[in-house]
Amino acid sequence: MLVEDNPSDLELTLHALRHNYLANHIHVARDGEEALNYLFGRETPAKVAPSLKLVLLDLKLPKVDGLEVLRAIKSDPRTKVIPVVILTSSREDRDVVEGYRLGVNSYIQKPVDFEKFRETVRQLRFYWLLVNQPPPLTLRHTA
Amino acid sequence: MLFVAKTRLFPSPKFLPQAANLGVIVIGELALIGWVVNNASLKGVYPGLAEMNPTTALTFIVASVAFRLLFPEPVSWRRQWLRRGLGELMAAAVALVGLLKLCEYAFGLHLGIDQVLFHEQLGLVRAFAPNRIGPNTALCIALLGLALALLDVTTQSGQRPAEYLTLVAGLISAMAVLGYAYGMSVLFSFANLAPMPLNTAMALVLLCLAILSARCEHGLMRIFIADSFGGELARRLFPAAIVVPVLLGWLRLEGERAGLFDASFGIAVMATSNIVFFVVLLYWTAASLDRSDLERQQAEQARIETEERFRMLVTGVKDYAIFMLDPKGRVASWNEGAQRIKGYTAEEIVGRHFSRFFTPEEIRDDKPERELRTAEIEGRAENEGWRVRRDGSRFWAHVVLTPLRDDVGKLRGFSKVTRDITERKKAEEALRAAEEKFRVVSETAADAIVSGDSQGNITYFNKAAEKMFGYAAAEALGQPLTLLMPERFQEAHRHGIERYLTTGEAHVVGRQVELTGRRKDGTEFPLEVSLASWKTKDGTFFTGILRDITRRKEAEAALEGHRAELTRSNHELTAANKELDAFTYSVSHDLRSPLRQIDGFARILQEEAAPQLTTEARHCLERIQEGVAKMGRLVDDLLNLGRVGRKQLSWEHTRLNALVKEAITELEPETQARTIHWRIDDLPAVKCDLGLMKVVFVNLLSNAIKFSQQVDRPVIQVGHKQVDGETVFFVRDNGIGFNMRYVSKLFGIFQRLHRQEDFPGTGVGLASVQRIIHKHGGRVWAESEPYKGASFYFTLGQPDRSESEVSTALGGANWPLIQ
Repeated sequence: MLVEDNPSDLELTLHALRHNYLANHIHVARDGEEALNYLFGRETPAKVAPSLKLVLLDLKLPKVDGLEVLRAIKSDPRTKVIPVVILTSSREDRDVVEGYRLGVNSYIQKPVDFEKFRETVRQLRFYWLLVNQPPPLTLRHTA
Repeated sequence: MLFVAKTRLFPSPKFLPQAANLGVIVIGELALIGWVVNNASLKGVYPGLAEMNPTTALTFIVASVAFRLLFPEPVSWRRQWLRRGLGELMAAAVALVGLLKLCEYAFGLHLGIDQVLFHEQLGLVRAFAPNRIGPNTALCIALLGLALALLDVTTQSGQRPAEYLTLVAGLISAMAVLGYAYGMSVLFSFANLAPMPLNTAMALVLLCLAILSARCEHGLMRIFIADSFGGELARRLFPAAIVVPVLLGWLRLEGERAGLFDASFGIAVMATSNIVFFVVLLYWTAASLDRSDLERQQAEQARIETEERFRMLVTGVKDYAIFMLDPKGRVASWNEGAQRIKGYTAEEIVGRHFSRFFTPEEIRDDKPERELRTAEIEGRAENEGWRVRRDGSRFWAHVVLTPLRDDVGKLRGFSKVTRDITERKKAEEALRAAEEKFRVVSETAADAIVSGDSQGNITYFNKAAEKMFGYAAAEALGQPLTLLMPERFQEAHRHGIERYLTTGEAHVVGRQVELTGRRKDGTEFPLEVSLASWKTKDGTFFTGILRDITRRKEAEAALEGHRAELTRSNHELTAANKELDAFTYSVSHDLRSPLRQIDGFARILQEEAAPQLTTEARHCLERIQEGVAKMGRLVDDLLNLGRVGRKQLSWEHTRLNALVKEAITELEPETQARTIHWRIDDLPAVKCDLGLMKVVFVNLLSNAIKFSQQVDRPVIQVGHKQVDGETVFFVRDNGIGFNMRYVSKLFGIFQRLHRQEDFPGTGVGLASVQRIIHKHGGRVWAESEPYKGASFYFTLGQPDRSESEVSTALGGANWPLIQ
């Protein structure tokens, strides 16, 4: 799932993901509320959570901001095992610290240089979807 | 006082001589009258007895008058010359009568001295008629005439010839009287010559008594009036010793003559009577004397004890010098106190004149003598002054000198009581000095000082108080303290004093409080009062030190205004900081997004539309991307700078060499393909914020690398120097340097001294360096000359020296970097 409000950033991120053959199974939420609805809406958690392999989360979001979304994910036993990566423009220490405190799995600043950005997204995909060993699905159900 | 006479033989010592003398003249006159009227009883005592010669009678009268004239004690010849001269002349005449008659007998002459008066009646028949003056009578008259003339003559050995002459005459005449009493003519007539008539004998005895008792204070008779045991004894026994044997003898003789008893019985009775009488008399006298003596001894003992106690009291007194002076001022006694105070022992000083206790100045001034005279005349002399001790040191003495007089008022000496009051004098002087000091201090004090008593009345009011309240001290003294305060506070003030005096509970005493004062003109003003209280025997007193704080109050009000303003601007500043924070956050987050957008889409365009793009269009896209890259760096640098400003320093013990090494490693991308000669000195470990110090070194070294890239052999040095106890760090290169004219712009944000094409950069690096160094409390500065390299200095201590001073001490910009 990709949570991103800025249309340009969204397009560029999707472009980068597409460039890396990853666009197929991406659910996009345009703000925090939408993300939370997707995750915790009626009947969804049981259905959605197990299928989510990674959440890419922007911090500065309308309505409900990224850190709130993170807190919600990490405080619900059904969703807390889902890896969450913060992908944001901010490099402020307090955001970084607060993110890790709430249990984020990784914190990445979006480079301005698009080439570098694309490379970063590539590495993200490579690491979290191929290198990293996620917990077994059964455990996710019982958790 | 010591000898009290138990009995007085005569009412007055003058009574006996005058009475006896009166008897003499009476007898003489009676005899003379007898001759005139021719009465035998008057001439003799009774008819048949020898008659007194008229010359003898006249002689008695003259002698009696002479005695009367000479009887008063001789005092001054000049005043008494007539009286005494006349008396002595008459005495001499008496003696002459006796002597002439004696000469008649001795040399057989016939001068007829005893036939001058009543010549016819005396008759001429018998040369040695019984009415002539007998030899014994003549001797007695001569002796007594001489005795009268010599009445007040004393020999060198203290003897009085008059007494012996009188005693002889007395013996002869007494024998004659006895002769008449016992009827033995041998006792009054001598060798058939004219006998001594009875009345003559009695007159002679009386005259003897008169002469002997006339000077009873001095001569042999003194014993009879002496106030002693001897006198007592004499007075009791002498009359008895004379009268009793005579009386007893007479009784025995008469008894024998009457044939009542024979001679042997008479002797036995007389002896026995004598014994009995004298035993009784002696025993009575002895008992009486014993009693007197006992009383006297007891009195003496009591006196001795009293004196001893008194002496001990006086000698034992240590705090007072108590001693006596004789009338001339010589020391007569000495006590322990005198020794302690004056330093002389009794042996040293007794007998010396007391003037040695005085100072030389006073001795010159004749003070000692004047003091004695004052005491003598006024009955007491009291004064204070410096006195001198034995060792010459002086002490301040209080002296009382009292004259001592005996019963009759004669000056016997002086008692002197001296006290060493040097300490008291010192204390008094210290007190005076303290008072003077207080007066000077309080009179010159800028603060008002006001004292009040327990009645709340003003007792002290200094100059500053006069000035502050507008009252003169004379106006304020004695007035209630409430005079100085507005009416609305007066009641509280009175309550406060009352409460403090009754309960001791102090609300204001001992503290500093702010009150309101009222001037004479009624205006009010703020006061700061420090109040103290103290107790004396006269009650409780209060002293306040008052300060007019009108100005301070105004200043405080102004300060309060400033403070409020400051608080307000502080709030504003905090708000501004918050806004800035939010702004920076926005920049960080939102400014990058559009950049990434531009770059991203430009890149996509470049990649996906490349075949359709002209060379010109591709160049445009590249320029867009360059601009974005630069903008990105600017935003990053700006954010870094902001972060530096906001960051709290975390002081850590840091090894700077390690830090420099890290910085160089970080800068490797810039130094690749270049040979830089690093000269890194041994740097000390310091306390600093590790992360920020690394930013400093990265920036400085990056600059050094950048500006030395056109030099053939770039050298970059990092070192430190001790300059006046301060550690100055520096980073130095041999690059192109800069013109010192622009040094002021060097550390400004976005300020650059070189063209972008020559040396890329944002102009934020040195601004960050300066901000970090300032945050550490240090200073940073640079020195350079174009093409001669640049030196950047910084300290981490407190800035207290100007930058140029330090760099001069380091050798200036031209300090040879490359050997």
